[in-house]
Amino acid sequence: MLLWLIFAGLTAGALVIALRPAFRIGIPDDIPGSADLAVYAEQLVDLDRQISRGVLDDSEHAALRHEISRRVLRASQRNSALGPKTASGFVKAIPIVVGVLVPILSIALYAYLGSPGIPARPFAPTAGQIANASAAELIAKVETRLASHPEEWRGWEAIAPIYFRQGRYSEAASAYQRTILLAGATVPRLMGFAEASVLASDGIVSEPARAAYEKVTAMDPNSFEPRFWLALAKEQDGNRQAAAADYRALLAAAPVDAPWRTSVEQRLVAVTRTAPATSRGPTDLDVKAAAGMTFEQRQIMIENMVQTLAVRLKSNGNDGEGWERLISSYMVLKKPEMARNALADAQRAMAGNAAAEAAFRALARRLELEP
Amino acid sequence: MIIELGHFALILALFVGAIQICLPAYGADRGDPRLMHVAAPAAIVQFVLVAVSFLALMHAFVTSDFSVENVWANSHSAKPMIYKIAGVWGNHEGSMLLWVLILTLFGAAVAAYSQNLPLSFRARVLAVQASLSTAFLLFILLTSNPFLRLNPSPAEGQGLNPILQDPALAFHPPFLYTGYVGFSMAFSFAIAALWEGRIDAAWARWVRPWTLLAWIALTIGIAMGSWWAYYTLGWGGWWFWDPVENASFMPWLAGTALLHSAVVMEKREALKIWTILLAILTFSLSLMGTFLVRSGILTSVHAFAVDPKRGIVILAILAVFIGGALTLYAWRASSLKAGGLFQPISREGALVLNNVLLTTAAATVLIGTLYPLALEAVTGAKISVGAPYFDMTFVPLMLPLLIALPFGALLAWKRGDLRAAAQRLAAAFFAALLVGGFTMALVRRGPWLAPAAIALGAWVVIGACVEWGVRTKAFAAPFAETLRRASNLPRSAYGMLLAHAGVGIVAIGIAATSAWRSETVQVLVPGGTMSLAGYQLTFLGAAPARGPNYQETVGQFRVTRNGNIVTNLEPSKRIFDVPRQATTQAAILNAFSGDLYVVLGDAVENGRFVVRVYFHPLVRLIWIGALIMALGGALSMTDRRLRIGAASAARRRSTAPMAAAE
Repeated sequence: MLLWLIFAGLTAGALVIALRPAFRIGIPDDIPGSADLAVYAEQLVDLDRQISRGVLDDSEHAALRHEISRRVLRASQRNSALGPKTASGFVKAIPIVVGVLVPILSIALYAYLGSPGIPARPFAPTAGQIANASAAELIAKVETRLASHPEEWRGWEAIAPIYFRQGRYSEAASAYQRTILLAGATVPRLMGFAEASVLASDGIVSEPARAAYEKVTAMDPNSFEPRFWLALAKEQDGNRQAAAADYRALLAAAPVDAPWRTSVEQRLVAVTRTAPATSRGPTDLDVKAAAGMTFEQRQIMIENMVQTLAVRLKSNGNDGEGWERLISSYMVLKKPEMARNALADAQRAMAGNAAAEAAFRALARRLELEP
Repeated sequence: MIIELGHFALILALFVGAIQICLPAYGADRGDPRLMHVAAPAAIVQFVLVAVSFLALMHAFVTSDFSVENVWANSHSAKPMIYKIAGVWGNHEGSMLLWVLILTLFGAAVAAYSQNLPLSFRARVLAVQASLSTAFLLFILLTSNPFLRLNPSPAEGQGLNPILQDPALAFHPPFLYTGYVGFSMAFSFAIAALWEGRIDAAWARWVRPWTLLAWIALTIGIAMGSWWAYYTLGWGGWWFWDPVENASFMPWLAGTALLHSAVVMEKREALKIWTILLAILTFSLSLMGTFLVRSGILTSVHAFAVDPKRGIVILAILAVFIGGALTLYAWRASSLKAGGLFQPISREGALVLNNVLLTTAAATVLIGTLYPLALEAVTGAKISVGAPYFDMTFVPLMLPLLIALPFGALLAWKRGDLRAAAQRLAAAFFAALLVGGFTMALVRRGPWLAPAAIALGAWVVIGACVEWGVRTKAFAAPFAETLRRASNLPRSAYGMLLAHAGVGIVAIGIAATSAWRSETVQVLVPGGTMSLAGYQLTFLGAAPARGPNYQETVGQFRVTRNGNIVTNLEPSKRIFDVPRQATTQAAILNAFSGDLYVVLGDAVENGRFVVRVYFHPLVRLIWIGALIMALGGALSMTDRRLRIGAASAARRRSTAPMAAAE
């Protein structure tokens, strides 16, 4: 209601100010051309001023005065030819009609376009955003402190899990590493470091992470989690028999109601399958995600996977299937040069394994990679 | 509620605009003073309403009210405050609202400051001005309404294009629009004059401040845009002949011609009909610039707001106003009385030459801008007309303009004496030659034309000073006399001196930076060095940093010259949070000799980075010169005198050299 009252006030104000002259009687009659004459009069005054300032000399002054007078004469002749016209009664009705029409049309158009019912919603941070903001503040405080005092391991130990919760895994890993360097290795620190490292490299159990898990098993032989990750590391290295054995041992030792049993069982099924086992192929989830991606995004995802595979094969080349997948992938990505290089690497890595060499030759023929 | 109030105010402004068209126009036709008197208050009311609406939108941006679709689509709560404000015009809808705001502001200014205009003439001017604002208000309300709401409203906005999050770019649209829209005043005055069927002496005098204001704003706006392009686009180009740049440059060229022909009209009552045409053409080019930028017909760095449907509406507005104005001109121009006579060699003649060259230059830019569009529309072939075309057409037109410029300023009105002018300019000529020779000796090699171009720029600057010297009788009269004359010279004379000198300075900057630009690209490891133009750069390394709404990688460079540390430069690459987009921030070292321009490129492996370094000699003179030109315009604008040109009597010419009175 208030809104409509303001609209009414605005409209009334605008119309009163704009239309007032149309109702007013006794507006000074405009004499056509008087403005012209005023300009010329001002020009004459200015001439005198210039003379007194010494910018003009007398003969120039005379010439100019003459010219302006000529213009004045012409203007006044023209003005006398024109005369003011008389106003008619019809004109008086115009402002009244306008004064009625404009509010009606404005309200009608506003009713069509406007949304009077929606209140303003200025940005107000939600509870989650506030929590984020205070976490960010906390982090900033610790970071500034650590920048000047990098030797304070307590700061690193405090900030590492915060980084981890925020998904900044590589920063979390390096914070844990600093803590271990400064204050020595403990099981939670090693576990934190290893977990952050694994997540930072997209699930690959890298060498430092593996070493950390080894250390944890040495310090606490009864812990199950590091054993699982070590088994996974073997699986990722292509050492599937050893991985399967480890998974079985884990399951045998584990309590029956352990919540992580199912994950271990899944891994075991995956490694023992005879079909080209996926050490690190796309999971169902990955494939599902890929379906919703644009072409570019998909391309990037594929390239990431291929790169991960390539890195792994470089450190552990004893995986004929892996090499074959890498070579085919390069062809799919239209990188024949890379495929050829990978083929050469594969032949070097698997030299002596007759079956693998034959498989590589067959693949090369099929993909027309033969030199 | 504030946002809805803004919406309603905009609608009301549309209908007040309709009042402002119809009542004064009818009144002027019938000679009814009461209806004619409606024009001025209506113009002020219309401006106030549009201003309320604009402030309401700004309020929504500042408070990040994402229930407004426009705010949601173009803002983000984490954006720094100045970009929240700049975000109002950083999008299509808001920028059109700014356009109309400035249009109505000019209308209100005429209403407030032009009491000395004849009543019927003022009524017609304001009616024409209102027809422009009403057309654009209708366009905004029906096709690009910034006040549409979202319900339910999103929690967070989509952010502003990071390229636009830059101080120079954030504030160059208001200048550019003031320039574009300011020429609407000249247009409205021209149409009113044609409509009324007469132009008086005072016409040019009334038009002058508005045109000058528009020209100053456009000069600054173009310079800011060029400056922005220089430091953001990552390689230090300052002008690209991009269609959007051309769109602002064409009205500038035509507007410059208009300013000069209006001087002839004001002082000598000559060139009336031509000035009217020029006023129409200048604003038509401004409208076309709006069409080119806003219709999305172009695809370039600037075309950030695109929608072809709107393009058709703008095209219709364009057709009505330009077509209508030119038709009216064809119909009524013959009834206007042609003014004073003059000889070809005279100040008027020189200004005609200026007009011919500037309008031809505007035409070549127009062809270069529209030809690719026309070709694509007809044959579907996509071509781009780039720098080579403009170098071959535009530059040859500017050369005679620069050569003739000092002569023009020294010729007397009505009939001039070329030989006398040449005698006075001899000193300037030799000084310019000296500058050219000195340049050649200093740089020793490089394009042989470049020293000549530098000399040409110097010729324009020195020529402008010679003109001042002649007027103040410097070196010819006692010092006190010169001082007295100098202090008595009208401000518009100093305005001309500055504006012309600015042109020369821009020419020197362009010539130097085009001829002697140098660059080098290297991949550097931290600790690596490279050198260019006498500077040695040491790459100290790159580190991540965090800005208010972006993450950046900042490179550290130590710059030394002959073993002495000059400065540290920190070029960076930014990645914005929302939308996720990267920008490059060049680091620039300013020195008298030129700019050292460092860009941090992509990271290669092992902490190595691609580093590009440029040296742009004297490049700053381009913008300094433009600012001096704008300053000259401002000085001239403060000179509110009524001016008349003194024609010298023919018989006096042979005996004594004549100083032309301003």
